[in-house]
Amino acid sequence: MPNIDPTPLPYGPLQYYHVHFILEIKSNDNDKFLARCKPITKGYFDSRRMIDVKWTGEDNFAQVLQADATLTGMLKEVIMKVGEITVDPQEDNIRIYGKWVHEENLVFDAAMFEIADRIAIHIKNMVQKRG
Amino acid sequence: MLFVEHKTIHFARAKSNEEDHDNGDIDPVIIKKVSVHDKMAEEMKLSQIDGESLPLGSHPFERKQYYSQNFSMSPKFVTNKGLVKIKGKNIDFVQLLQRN
Repeated sequence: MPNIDPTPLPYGPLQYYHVHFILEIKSNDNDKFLARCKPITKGYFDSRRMIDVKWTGEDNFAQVLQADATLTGMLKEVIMKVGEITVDPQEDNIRIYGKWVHEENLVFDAAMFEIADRIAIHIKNMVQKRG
Repeated sequence: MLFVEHKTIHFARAKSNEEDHDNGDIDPVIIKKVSVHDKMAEEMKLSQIDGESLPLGSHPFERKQYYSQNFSMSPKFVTNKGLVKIKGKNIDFVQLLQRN
């Protein structure tokens, strides 16, 4: 049996993990790929249903993602579980992530990977067009 | 993270005296220490995604900022738990971070 500390220290790493899907891309316009997706819901508690998703962020990029019906369809299936999806640009990479996951629920989510992959296609296409 | 694996070993018993019977029915518990990104890479392979876990701290991405801080509520203190390299997809890496 593992030794469980009865008085754990109130600091240190918590049992929450973040899964970042990273696209390695370097362009002058990396900062333009800033967006966040949130669900639009109707009702409360048990009757809460998702009716649509809304992308906010840099205008052009958010519009491109909002216009992709396939992506919206994929998001409708997972967004209630994932909570929100953020596209966070860095200097030489772009990170796509959802919300923090507890250690117990940390498993590879294939649906989330497909969504991140589709967003990555849009980013690559936009970089090619600009370049 | 610790993953406990119970493994039952059946001993072939030539003699059936009482002493052998007492020692033969022990189920050893094997404790495997698997890092989170290794576990994630294994799960990816089950989903037909070619992922290879990299040694901790071996890639420059692990030594840079993980968040642009453009969004509110972006965490400041996180611990890098490893990077998984993806092949044949548009996504290049999957990184795992633990909240502090």
